[in-house]
Amino acid sequence: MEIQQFKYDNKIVKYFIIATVIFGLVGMLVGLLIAMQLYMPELNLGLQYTSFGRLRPLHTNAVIFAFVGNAMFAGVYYSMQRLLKTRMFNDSLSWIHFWGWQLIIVAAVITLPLGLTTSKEYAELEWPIDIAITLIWVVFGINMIGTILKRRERHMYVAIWFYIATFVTVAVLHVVNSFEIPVTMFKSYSWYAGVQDALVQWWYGHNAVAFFLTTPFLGLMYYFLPKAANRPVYSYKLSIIHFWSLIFIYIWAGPHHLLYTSLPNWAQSLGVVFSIMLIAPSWGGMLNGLMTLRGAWDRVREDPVLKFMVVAVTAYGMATLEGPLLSIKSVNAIAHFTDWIVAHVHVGALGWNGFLIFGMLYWLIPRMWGTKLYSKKLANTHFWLGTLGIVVYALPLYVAGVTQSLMWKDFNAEGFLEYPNFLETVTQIIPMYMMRSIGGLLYLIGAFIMTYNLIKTAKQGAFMANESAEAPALEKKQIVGGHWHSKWERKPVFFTVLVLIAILIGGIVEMVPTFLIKSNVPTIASVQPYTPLELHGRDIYIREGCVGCHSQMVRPFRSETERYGGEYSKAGEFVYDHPFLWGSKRTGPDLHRIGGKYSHAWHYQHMLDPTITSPGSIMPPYPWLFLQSIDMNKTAGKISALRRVGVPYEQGYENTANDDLQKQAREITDGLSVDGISTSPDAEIVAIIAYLQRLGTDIKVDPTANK
Amino acid sequence: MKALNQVFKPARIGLFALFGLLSTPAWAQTGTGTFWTEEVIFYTMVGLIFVIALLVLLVTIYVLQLLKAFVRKDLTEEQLASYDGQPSVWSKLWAKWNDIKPVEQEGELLLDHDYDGIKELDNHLPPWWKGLFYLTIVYAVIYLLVFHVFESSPLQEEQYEIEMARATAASQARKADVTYDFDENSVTATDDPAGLAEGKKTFESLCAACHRADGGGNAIGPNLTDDYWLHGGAMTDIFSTIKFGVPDKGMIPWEQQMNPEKMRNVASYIMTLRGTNPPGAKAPQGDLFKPDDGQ
Repeated sequence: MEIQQFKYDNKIVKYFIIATVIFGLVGMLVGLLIAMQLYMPELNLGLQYTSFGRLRPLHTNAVIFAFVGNAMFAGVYYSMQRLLKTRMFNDSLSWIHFWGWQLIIVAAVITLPLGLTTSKEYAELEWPIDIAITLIWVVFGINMIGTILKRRERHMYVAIWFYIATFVTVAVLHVVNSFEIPVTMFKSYSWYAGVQDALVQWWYGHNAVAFFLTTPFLGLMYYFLPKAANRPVYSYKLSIIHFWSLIFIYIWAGPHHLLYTSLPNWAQSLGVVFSIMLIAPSWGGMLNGLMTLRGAWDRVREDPVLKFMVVAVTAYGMATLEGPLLSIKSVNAIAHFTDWIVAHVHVGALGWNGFLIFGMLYWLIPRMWGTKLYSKKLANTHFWLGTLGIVVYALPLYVAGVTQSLMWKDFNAEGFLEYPNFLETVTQIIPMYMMRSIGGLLYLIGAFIMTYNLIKTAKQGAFMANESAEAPALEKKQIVGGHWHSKWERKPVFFTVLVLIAILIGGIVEMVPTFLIKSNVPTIASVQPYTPLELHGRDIYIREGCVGCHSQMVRPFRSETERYGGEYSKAGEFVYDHPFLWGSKRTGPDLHRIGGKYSHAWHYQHMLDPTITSPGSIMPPYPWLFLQSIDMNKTAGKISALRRVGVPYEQGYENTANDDLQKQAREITDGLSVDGISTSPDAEIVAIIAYLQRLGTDIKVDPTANK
Repeated sequence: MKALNQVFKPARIGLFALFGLLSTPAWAQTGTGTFWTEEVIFYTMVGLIFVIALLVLLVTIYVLQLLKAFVRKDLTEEQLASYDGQPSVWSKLWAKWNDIKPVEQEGELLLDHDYDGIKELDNHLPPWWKGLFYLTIVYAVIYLLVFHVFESSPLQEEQYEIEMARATAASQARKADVTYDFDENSVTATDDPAGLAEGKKTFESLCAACHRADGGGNAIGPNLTDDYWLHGGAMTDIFSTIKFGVPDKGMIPWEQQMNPEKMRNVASYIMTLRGTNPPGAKAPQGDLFKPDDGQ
């Protein structure tokens, strides 16, 4: 047997680690800022680029794709080379991957504050960046599959299975969810509308959590945890069962983000039951992690790396039990749209992803720099600050979520809403918002301490860019027999195809009928496409990230139809909504039935300074809407693009659309002038008023009136 | 009371989540403002029993630990050694539930896998975990059968109809119980100080947004302190405007949020604002109305 000499590429790992730390700090800092904006609206700084609606997607993108993403790549590049006993397939691909990914992040940092967004959660980046993501992801995929193919290890270890599932599924999710029709260089409309857009988006959103934040990290856990604990993995059988059940079941659970909405009941029910069935597969990962530590618990007390990993795995177990419970409809009816969900995702993000990353970094840096950790004491301080931070972050938000939800639903003895003014339910939970930001601050301080500790560690050691290794070449002989699964582990291409089939089934079963069977979205005759002015207004609504705090989905509960007036939202009302804007959080009230509720003047004053109409409101003012004008040159492009995706504007309407636009704008400015307000008809405020006044009103039109 | 309400309600809902996974939303059946309903008492009791049970458990564990310490004190060295060699009840139970091999014997389970030094054991799937998995699958099948095959439990649209029907019935029962001896045609202003105080409070929390806290009006709503009225200045007119709103101009119908007495109180309070002439009030709108014309 020939022993071959080769070198592991540590330099690429180092670069990904540096990016992880930098973007981690940035992402968390933005998170802290927007957390504080919730009780100090002045922190929006009066600038459109730093208002909550625009910074929230920056925070989520930064922590998911920049912090967790770079950490994932660092861990994958480190572990994959060693698990397969080979250098990465191609160094150039590694570096294209690295710099391409960083450029995408920089593009996000620039475009999101500028308000260039598709508004689809965790997929906000506009179409040119979507294409770049696809290309870079393919580069990563080629590099990964290439490495697997030239391996010196006959069988693929469980970590590699998870990496394959990650690559395949994220590719499918990203491509399908990003179908959009470009309007301009940085503006597009989703290919799908309303209910269908919602289904695709949350199939994506849910599985981004599954296959970007979970499966790669389970892979990392399977490498770094047994390494750090120096213990054998508890159960190979458990690995097999929980891997396949997890990836197969996860993909079905997306509709649990849309319970009690206009999504067809059958799809909602699939979301519920598959979420419940996810408990055991998720816990399989936690169990295999915790049980691997059997016989090493004395070292868990000593070693900061293991401490971080134990809390990470435990947080994973908690979050993956909580998730299914939140998917039960009667629990979801309380928790959805509240801060409970924010607490839930942060247990996952701060606990599972964050702590696993910290544990991994504390283990990696001393090894890669050939030294010992600079200060164990500082690492322990970081551990306790982080743990305390998570608790102080999550607990107040649980209280806030339940409190607010119950206030929304409370009726008094006379059958009236006990808290008819939405604002009352917000001011009630402001103290919880304050405490949450303290939790976030603690966590961030911990991360800074880690950064210092890691830099000091690196400085006292010497980095080795290429680490020598040796392994016998993989002989070209046919191996037969063995456990059925170990046969699969020898066939990476076959394995990848099986993964692809497993993750496609759920999505196909849920999406195809929703798209093809008409009864799933019953049409409503009186629902008409938006007028050109309303379209401009809607695009401003999207640009400002209003959807981050305002839902457009009145659920079928008495407390909501009473509060928001009239009927609950119907599937047929959203057929021209490219993209859908149902939202996932109500920091402010639902807006689906806002149309016609208040006067133009009310909206005008409210956008200028929300505290005029709603004293104590935490919504920031939007003064720039009064100074900026809409670009009427873009009207035709918008109309044509929407017609391409099925909105029935007549042929040639784009040429006369601006006439309608100006007419409607003048009606609004005339209305405002009655109340003594004079404003230019092309000011953005006029467009947004037009859009808000249209919302949810089509259904109120008497259907016989058209005849 | 309200604060107390908020403390207890989460507990109630939590218990609902535990016991009523398939039930319709918990608040659908409630919706009474009085605090000590049967339900609240029931769940408070359950909560108390739970806390007490937890305390008893903790005390039991503590006492057992004490007993153990006492027993150990009387043992000889040898007895102590053999005593410590025995696995505890807990660790036996743990091993059984997880179908675990002791760490010392795990060598038997070691597979010939070695990935960068990582070895794998071939422990059995924990039986409780398998049971949990099967249980969730059974739950899924039953759930789908109940809602989509036998259709024996209502889906969301029907749940909504049920909730609304129940609210309507409750509202009719209330109307039978409480009748008001006035409506928008016969209402007269109250001079009861308590009523006016309540009206002032309502005005400042709900009406001030569009009419200013002093009633002087702002860019949205008209001045309510002068003698000019867009929709009539008599008590009955003001009451009607409040009750039915002026939807075209953005004034919402408040009858959906207030009972007639509350609307009368706020209308009466508005009547007292007349002639207060606050600084910076909005210019008159509408028609001149002289109080003595109407009443």
